Amino acid sequence: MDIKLKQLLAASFDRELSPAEKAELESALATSTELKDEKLRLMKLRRAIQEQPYKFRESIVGEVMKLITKEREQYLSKSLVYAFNRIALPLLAAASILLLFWLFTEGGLSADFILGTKDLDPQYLSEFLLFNY
Amino acid sequence: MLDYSAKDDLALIEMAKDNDDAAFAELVYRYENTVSKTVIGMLGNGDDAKDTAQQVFIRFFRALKDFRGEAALGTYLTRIAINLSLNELKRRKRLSGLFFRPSESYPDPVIRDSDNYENELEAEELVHKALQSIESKYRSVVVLRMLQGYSTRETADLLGLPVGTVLSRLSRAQEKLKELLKPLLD
Repeated sequence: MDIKLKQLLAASFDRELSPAEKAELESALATSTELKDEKLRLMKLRRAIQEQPYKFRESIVGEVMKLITKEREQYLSKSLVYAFNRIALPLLAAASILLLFWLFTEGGLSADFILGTKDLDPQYLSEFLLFNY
Repeated sequence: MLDYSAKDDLALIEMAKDNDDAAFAELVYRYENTVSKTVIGMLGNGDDAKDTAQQVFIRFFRALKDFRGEAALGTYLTRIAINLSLNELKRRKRLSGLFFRPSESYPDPVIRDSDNYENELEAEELVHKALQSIESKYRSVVVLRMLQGYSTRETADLLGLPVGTVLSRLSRAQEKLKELLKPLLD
């Protein structure tokens, strides 16, 4: 069989032939039984490939939706970690700096210092607490 | 109660963007055959193919907010499916290089007489094995052109190849498949 005609036949399944190529192929097909058989073989090949089932035994919808739920949970926990890193950690750092500042400027972290009663005469303590708190 | 099956793809995508899981499930149901055709054609019908098909939809879910509907959803998912399948094939190749000698990796399918292929299951097995035995660069054009029915131009666009390359790969793949599937064709 003419190689060029064979290639033309194979190409005719995948691209538009030019009018000249089309005429050449058609006239060859009208006279060559071999080429006709080759055309039938190619058609059978494509059908054999197309007609097979390409399906999973069971639908994947349920499994995909389970994975998506898992994905959302992971996203939520990642968001919490992100929020903690962006908000809670800076707050914690600020509080620590403030405490350290108190510690160094006031010389300690006694209850007197925190309540602001450090320099108060103990006999006025109850009145001070009652009035302020 | 909402009838999701009556909604078009874009409406379902908008609903899925608002965390409507039933809308997303309907999209998975609608396109699981398209995706499975691509991944089974590329990887065979095994657990790897199933995992890859699931990953296609997970990728789609992650990209949902950016999906503008410029390409048809089927084409969009096929593009993801073919890329993930090619990645999986590369992974397999790396693994087979690590654990097996090359000669042991992918044996050619056993060819028998045509009379033995009356059973549809055997024919199915033969076609699957033949597809798996051709090189991945040929397999991807066969899957898109012959299985999915994309035009040569669309196949070229999906794979990022020139049309001429797709045509020559199709021609070579066809020759190889004709040889491997001889018992079914004669």
